[in-house]
Amino acid sequence: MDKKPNLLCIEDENFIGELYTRALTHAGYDVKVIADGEAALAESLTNAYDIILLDIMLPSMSGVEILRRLKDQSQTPPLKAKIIITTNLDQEESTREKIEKMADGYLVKAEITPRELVAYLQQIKL
Amino acid sequence: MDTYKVLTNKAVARIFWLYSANAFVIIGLWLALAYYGVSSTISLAVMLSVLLVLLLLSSYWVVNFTMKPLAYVRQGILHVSSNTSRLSAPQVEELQFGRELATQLLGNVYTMAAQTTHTTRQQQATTEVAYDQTFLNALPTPVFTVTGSGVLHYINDAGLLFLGQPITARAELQNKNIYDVLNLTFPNEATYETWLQNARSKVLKATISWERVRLVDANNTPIKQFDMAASYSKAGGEIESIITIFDHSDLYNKDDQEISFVAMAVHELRTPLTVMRGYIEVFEDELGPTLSPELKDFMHKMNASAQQLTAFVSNILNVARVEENQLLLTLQKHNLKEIMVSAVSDLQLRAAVHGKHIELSVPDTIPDVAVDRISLHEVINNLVDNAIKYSDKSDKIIISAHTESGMVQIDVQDFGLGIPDSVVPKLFDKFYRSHRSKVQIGGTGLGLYLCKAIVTALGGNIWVHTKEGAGSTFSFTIEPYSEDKHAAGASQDGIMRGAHGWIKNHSMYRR
Repeated sequence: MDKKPNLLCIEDENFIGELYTRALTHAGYDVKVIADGEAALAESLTNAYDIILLDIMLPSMSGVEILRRLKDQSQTPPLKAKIIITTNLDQEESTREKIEKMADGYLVKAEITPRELVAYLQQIKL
Repeated sequence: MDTYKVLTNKAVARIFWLYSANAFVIIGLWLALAYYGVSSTISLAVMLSVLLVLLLLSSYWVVNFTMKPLAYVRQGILHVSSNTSRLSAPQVEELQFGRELATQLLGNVYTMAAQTTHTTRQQQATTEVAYDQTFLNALPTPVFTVTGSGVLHYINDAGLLFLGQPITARAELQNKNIYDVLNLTFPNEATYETWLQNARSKVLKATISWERVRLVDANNTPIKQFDMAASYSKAGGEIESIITIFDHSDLYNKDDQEISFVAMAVHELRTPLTVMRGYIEVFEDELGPTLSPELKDFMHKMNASAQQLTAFVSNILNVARVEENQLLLTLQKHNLKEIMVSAVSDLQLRAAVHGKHIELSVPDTIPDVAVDRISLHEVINNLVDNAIKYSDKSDKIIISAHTESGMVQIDVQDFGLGIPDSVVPKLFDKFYRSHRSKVQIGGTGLGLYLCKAIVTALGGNIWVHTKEGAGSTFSFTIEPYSEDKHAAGASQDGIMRGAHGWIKNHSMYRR
């Protein structure tokens, strides 16, 4: 790939944001981290990103709500970004299924290290 | 000919012959008296006396036979009337005179009586049904009466409201199969259907209640959540069972939507764990080559401990789900070898820092299995974790898989402490870990409890063979994937199962 893939990391936990930025930058991604839900939604809508990592528990607007807005064809033109849910919240099966159907991936952050996240993202076709 | 006319003719004929006979007697008497020369005055007196006697006797006889049919008809009427001192039915065949008329009249009486009785009974029945329906419709709770063939017999107003149907839909619904009208899922294998089948084969009457039953739509999305009670009666006539529903959708939906305390606690525990594992990885990657072997070992131990804690946090969440009947697994086709290789590679570090090595032995011929991948991972994780803890001085742990009696069996074998016979029966109970107190080994006693819940939900069994001082082999079975069994009736997302077995109320209806 000639150009570095752009990645938006929507994450309100600074340490996790820092770790992911470090690992992903090393792996050749251009990374931007936003912690606030509403600001993240606005940033996502610029359609400047190839991958969006989306946490669920966020200030001002939940990740599920952001996902719903981004995937709502009546409000948002289709985005090029692959949206990967990165959360530590274990949902009830039915809720999780609904979220998984809307997104392109679902990861429990505690189950993976930054290195494993990079490996996961690299196998996604952009 | 009219039976009355027949009777009259017969009577006239009988009376004619009677009086003719009387006339002959009188004439004979008169001739005899004249022959013996009895004076006319005396003979007249004798003849008048005899005639009087004959007339009296004749009248009695006439009255007797003409009245007899009437007596029979009277007896018949009294027989069918609701008089308490009922007479037996008259035997009309005995009657010689007037049998036709009596038979006809009694026939009419019986027909009328039968009609009256029928009408009365019908009126009573109609009144009872009307009363039942008024009563059922006055109830605030949904009620469904079901016939022995599983057809909805009656649904009350509250039931229609519950289903979101107008009153006019009643007639249509009442011809449907109950499983069409109420598409239910239950928190465990004790469904309405299994209860009913059991009741049919064993008892005359039964009642039961359930908590947290769900009414689901075609996509298995819950529409309502409620408690439910049912009664069964073999002698209930057309109605075999009655279902009553206590709608708690508001309460139960709120429970489900709210993130539970456990889920919240798990989230809060996981965040620092994620961070710790992330930083440890950075140190391992970037400092690793420069560290002394001892520090490198410490780094591995720190990492393994963080992994172990992460796994334990997931255990807590899943045990909480088992407790609340919320552990729902989605069975899908998976390559067992891939899952086992991935599970073992995750565990290898943890084993290594404890000086153990995991040997994996899975034949390539092992069939695909129908499992929930994350949950199977969790079972293997817990069993290997135990094996690491209880291996003592031995350094080998063997994980293998093979097919056995149509099931796929997975064994996790250690050569360590083993388990005393006395504690084996309690081993899969929650929080049971008393034997561990003898040695300094950590643990909560949740692992095997969770393993059992998951394996049961996957349709298998779990057990242990153990010998003190020689080690333990924990074995469990899972179902091989079968197109027939797992693809049929499954949604695109696989079959949903609860921690205590099947949860769909559907097997009968699917048949």
